[in-house]
Amino acid sequence: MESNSVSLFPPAIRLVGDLTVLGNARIACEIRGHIRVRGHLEIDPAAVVVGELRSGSLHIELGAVVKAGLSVGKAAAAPVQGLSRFLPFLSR
Amino acid sequence: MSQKILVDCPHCGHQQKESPAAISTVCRGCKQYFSLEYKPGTGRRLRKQRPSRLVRCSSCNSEQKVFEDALSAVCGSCGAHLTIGNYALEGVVRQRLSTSGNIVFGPSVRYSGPEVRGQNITIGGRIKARLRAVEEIVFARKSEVKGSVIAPLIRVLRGADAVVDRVQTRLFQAEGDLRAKQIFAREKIEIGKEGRVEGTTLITREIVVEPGGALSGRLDTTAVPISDEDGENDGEEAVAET
Repeated sequence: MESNSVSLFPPAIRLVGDLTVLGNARIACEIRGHIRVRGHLEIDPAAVVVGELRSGSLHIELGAVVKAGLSVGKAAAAPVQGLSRFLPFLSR
Repeated sequence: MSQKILVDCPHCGHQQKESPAAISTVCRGCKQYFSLEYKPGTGRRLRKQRPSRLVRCSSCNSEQKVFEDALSAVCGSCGAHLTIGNYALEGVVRQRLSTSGNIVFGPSVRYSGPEVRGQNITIGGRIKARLRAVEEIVFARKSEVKGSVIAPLIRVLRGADAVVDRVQTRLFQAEGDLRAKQIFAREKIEIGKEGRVEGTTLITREIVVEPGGALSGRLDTTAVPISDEDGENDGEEAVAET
């Protein structure tokens, strides 16, 4: 994914596993696992996030369910190691 | 027992007895304030004063205007006695601090004692107590608080470097550095581009971290309890004192 792009994760999907995004991301689905977003991460009111969350900047909107270890800032987002690892995601 | 003096209200002319040591009073006729200032050589001077700041009654929560330099007042709604002096503190502080005015802890303050209450509280120095403000608590400089800070709005100013046990608020805004064992913000946590906040536990419903800002901790957006009306006990049932 390009560094200035926005990756969208719509409500219709469910992800389990680790996710790395080199640009920005908008999450509206359920994700369980480690999420690392190098740029700005936006979490929609409909989203459910459980696990670990790292990003350069962040907006969690009112209504989102987030139970996660949080690390936001340049240092948290900078060292992206290895390739993105997507585990199979299941439709709801 | 000291002899009382008779004074006339400059607003309505009502006469009433007051202590000779009184600096100002409220008219029992029209409920307005007036000064009982004593000037050597000219005797006692009764003076109308223009109220210049708002204070909130700690008993009935009603707001009223009082003089800038007033130290106490009587609530016009419920009649409660109010301590409304502003405090600017430095060095070792031992006095009990509970006022409807503002409290500023300077950088050299060392305070250890019962809960501190004020309209607005600015924090500096080292404090070992719970701090509670009706409107706002501001971390303005280097400070250490062993205890909770409780207010509807809590702000960390740019250049501040604060360590605190627990933050309890509706809206938490940071443009400086703060470390806390727990941050409970009923509505929102906002971290500006120069804010750096570490909280072992973060409980809130909404978060904004601007690019350049930093926030870390264990977040749970579902742990915010159902709101009470005045916010006086925000989260106390959900999150124990650490």
